[in-house]
Amino acid sequence: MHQNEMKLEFDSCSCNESFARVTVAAFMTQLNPTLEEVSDVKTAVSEAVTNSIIHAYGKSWKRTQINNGFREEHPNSVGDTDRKLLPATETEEKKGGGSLAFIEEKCVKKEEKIEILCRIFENVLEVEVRDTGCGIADVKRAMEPMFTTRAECDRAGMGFSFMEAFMDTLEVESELGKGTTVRMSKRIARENAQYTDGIYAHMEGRERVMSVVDRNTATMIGREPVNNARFPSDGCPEKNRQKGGAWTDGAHPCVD
Amino acid sequence: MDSVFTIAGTIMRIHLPTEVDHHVSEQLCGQIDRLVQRKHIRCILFDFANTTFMDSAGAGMLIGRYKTMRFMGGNVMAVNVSRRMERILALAGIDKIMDIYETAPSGL
Repeated sequence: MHQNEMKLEFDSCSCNESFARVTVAAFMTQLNPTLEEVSDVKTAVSEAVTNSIIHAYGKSWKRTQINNGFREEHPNSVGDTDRKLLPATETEEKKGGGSLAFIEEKCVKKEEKIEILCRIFENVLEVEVRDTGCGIADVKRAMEPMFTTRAECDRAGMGFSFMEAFMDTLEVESELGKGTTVRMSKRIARENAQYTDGIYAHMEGRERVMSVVDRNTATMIGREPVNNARFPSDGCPEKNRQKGGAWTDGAHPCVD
Repeated sequence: MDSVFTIAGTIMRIHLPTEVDHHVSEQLCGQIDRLVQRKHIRCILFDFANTTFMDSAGAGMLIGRYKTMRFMGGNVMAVNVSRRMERILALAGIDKIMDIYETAPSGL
């Protein structure tokens, strides 16, 4: 399996959450994942992207005119945080005549972007979600379960918990005023996948199992179940990994 | 959007869409709260029949509606929950606060 990489950049807008999920899911199909693995990754990506959309950039408002009075449904009602209905100012009234109303709608500035970087090496998928927003003051506190800075918006504070539950590894780097990078990875255990050193991962019924096979005699000399294996493998240091950059040429830490 | 909400008396059944994420939850929250106030709803049924994806934003919406309904002396439950959705709800701790049914209870 060769190394593969893709980069995606889009506006920090909630309408792009579904798009981000589907794009990462499409990219990871080359690993031949199970439906459950795809769902896990989609959920984790959704959490990271949603965090950036909600917290990274402040709200910007665009004021547009609507004609002939107020709309039937008053947009200032409970839960409607995307637009506000406002009466015209005196100057605007004099200019326009009649009764004018304006709405202020939430808009996204051009520079408010979210970037997703996906890398595949062997059967490991790594996803990085980056923004250049306000950053997180206390990353450790932010990652505590049920902690949220937006309790009034029905935020349950479980984003990071979900990411940790569905991915094998999770790292968060953030700097105030510069932005946040969330890095997660997951090993996709393909059926009858062959490793370079005679270790075979395969499915036995519903259980994921790793068998050690003696290549010379083609006999199984060891077997153990694999439950949410953490990546990188135990005892395998990330010596060639550059933080925030690409893998060094052909030098994945687990294939030496 | 009318087909999403089915109201019978004081029971409101919400047919959740295929994907319940932050974008969808934000829109639904406002609509649900307005309908609950206007139609004096006492019981909310979240119907997961068409739902194949939900993240913590969806869970947050459920928890928020549960808190609102409990405050008003009402009730919330989840029906037609698939195995995958049940896993998400369990992870969010929602199975501890509301009844979750694999199918819809009869009479509703």
